[in-house]
Amino acid sequence: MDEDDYESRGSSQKSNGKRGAPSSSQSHSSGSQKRVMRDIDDDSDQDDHAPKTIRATTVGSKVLDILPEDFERFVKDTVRLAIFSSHSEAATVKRDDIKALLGTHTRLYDSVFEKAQERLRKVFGMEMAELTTKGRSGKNEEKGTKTYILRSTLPLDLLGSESLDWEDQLEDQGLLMVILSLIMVREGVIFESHLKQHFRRLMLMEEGSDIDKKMDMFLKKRYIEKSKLEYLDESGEKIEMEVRWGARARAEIPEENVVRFIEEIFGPEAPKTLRASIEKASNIRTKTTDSNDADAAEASNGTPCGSSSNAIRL
Amino acid sequence: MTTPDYSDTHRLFLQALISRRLMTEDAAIQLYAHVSPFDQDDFTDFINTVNDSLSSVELEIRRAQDEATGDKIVALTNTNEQKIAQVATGYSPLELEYFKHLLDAIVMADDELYCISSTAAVNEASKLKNKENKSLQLTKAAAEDLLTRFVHDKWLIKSKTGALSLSTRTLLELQSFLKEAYEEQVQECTLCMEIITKGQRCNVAACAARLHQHCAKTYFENMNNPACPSCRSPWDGKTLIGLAPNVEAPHTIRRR
Repeated sequence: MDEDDYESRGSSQKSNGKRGAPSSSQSHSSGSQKRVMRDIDDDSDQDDHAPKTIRATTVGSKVLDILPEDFERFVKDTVRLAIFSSHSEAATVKRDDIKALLGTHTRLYDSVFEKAQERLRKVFGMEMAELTTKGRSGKNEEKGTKTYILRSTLPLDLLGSESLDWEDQLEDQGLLMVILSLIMVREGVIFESHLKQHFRRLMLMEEGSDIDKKMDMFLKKRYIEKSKLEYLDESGEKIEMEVRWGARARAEIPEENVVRFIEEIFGPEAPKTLRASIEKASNIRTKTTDSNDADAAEASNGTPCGSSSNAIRL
Repeated sequence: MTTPDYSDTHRLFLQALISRRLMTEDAAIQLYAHVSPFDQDDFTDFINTVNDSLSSVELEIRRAQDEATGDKIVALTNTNEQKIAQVATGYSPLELEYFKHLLDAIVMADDELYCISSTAAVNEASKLKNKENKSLQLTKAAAEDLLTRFVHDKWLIKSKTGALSLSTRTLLELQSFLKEAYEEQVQECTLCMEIITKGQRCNVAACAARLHQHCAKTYFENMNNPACPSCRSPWDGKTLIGLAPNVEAPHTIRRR
């Protein structure tokens, strides 16, 4: 019961009666169609013996010696791999997995990747973003990890929590935003014990609460990362777990979102200098920075308890 | 062939559908109403527009009805379904091999039961062999975990009595694979022509008429004397295919 080799299926895609050329992606009007099919009007039966007609694919300024249908196959499969990978536990796509799709044509990786990104943006409004490791020894260097996540490229406003009912996802998202904002306004790191103090104030540590499970999930999905810190104080050796933003949070969630989240929590009674205070505490700059620095307001100590925000379900 | 209307609204809908994998049609319509300013009645047009765009990656949004409940669902599926591996991502070759075995056992079950017991499924694990006929290492514990994953990922359904059967997702995504590999065993509903593994059948043994529960309801709605669409004999809807609820699946498996 062998399954068919899918290479031969290249021509079985939904075609619009065009010979040789791949399906509808060609007819979209948007953007620049960099790809040029040299053999569109050729009768493919005659190709094999005509030395002047070369079946090749042009991507940008590169000419690749591969059939257009096969290249298109790679692009499609890469897009599908990315989309269906988002269902797995880690929700990542490894560069190696994409290379595996290419068989012996791994040298085409960059072109295929670029085209797959275009296709993802066009159809889904998403793109692959590489997870980076952030150097911690004061260098702040970012290194690639050859692992990608899928993130949305749609404008922020569309994704407002009021317009979509994300159901149970909303609860997780809200909790995550709380954690990330607590970390952010401490310039990027918080002790786990302090985080748990906040959780207590927010009534998240009650009996039967699954907060630990959620933390584990965030850790696994790389929204947060933990590291051990050993230090000495008057009472002897101490160990603390430090919690920081993880690679996925850096790739998926712009700081602007977190700033807006905090603003939303404060609601209409927020002081006008709130944004400036947040930025000062976090040591970040956002696009809409107010030049008003009159208030040397201290860092917000975290979100107020019992807030009326609809982003958190307590 | 995309209509000029394709916009971020369509993309947003797609993203929501992706994160949920499968949605009930009601939820999908609600989502659509939230994200777009269009008329409720244009939902089908909306889906068609999205599908035009999706065709460039050989995916489509399909609507189907759950065999057991009749619930209408909406799912993002492949349009080319030849290789199971391409469809079920996130599984190792060994895990896929096991899945194929289970598919085989379920489709080949006697008396059109289209299911197997979890016990039998776990026992199958020790029978896995690779192409060189060497046995593959899948422990019973690992098999049980895998079964849980298959159910969680909505490839298989587990009944209260532990019977494993094919989910709507499997029927949607692997339709052509199943029809091709199991020509004789796979049947279609006489009304909707989709694969059927749970439902009613004609009382006459030789008659091939089969109907989903929800299709039977529609078909016989206003009929005073329900009659088989094929052979016209009386149809009482009591002869079933697929496992009757609250009954345990048989523990033996017929090998191909």
